[in-house]
Amino acid sequence: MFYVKILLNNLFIVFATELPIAYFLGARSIKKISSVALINIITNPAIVYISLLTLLFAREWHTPVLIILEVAVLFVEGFSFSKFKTFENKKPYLISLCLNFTSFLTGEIIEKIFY
Amino acid sequence: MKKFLTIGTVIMLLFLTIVPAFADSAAYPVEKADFYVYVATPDGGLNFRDGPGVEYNTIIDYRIPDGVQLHITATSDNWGLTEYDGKWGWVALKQTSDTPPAVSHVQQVVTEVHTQGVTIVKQVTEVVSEIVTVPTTEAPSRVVESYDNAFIEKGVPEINTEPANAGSSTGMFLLIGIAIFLIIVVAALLIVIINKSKKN
Repeated sequence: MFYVKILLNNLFIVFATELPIAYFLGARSIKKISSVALINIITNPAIVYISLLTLLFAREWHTPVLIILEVAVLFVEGFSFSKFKTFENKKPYLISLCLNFTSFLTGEIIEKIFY
Repeated sequence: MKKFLTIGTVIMLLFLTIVPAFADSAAYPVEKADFYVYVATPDGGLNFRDGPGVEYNTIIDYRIPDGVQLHITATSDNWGLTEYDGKWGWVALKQTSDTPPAVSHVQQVVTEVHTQGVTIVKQVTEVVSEIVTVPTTEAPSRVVESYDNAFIEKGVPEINTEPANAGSSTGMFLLIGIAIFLIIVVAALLIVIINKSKKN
């Protein structure tokens, strides 16, 4: 329950930060917003899950693994935005970087405040 | 199209609701520790919880006052396991300090009064001048505990240095991993379906 809570909290934070920004950046239709939400459902639980595993079993690898995963997520989301033209002709990888940086920063701030 | 979306959403919701039911409710990593800290909070008290996180319930109905020394016997991330007032629980280590806080904090005392089954706890900043007036003829069962003797070490329980409930944690992790994999597959399918319909 403890770990599932962490996964759900992280997904909620990502939704709460990335979806409004995606909307302002041009994903105005329900289909486009759904695409952004779904790509986050694909990437976020996976990254948090692997991050938790490293925290528990290989703490010294946590930071490098997290950086690699974040970069991978950036490219996966950018590729998805590019492939499905979620943001029309805007730069998909830059938008992906913007969205992920915002949600990562929000998560860090929340952690600093509550923990 | 609507059918696919509905089925996909239902499957995802099912996983999101079923997985927590199977998950272990008390699994968190614990590492053995042995050090002392002083409570040093910006608002004068530290919550004492039954688990290492703000999502866990508080054990006592008041907060551990600033200046109290705590013996940390285990840690989990930034939380420490300790004993206070005869109970074992967790405190946020970010709200503690290695050194005793300023004199004004040290002067804080805890007055705990038990009367007719109700515990009244008040923090005062002056050691001598401020005494809690008890609305009863009964003498308080425990009077003033100063910063120096607020923490009474009563022996340390055996702490398992392995992750808590290691066996069930492994199973739970496997279950969560499978659930995440299935969620990813369903979400990927949904993305393809949504975007195909967009092209049409």
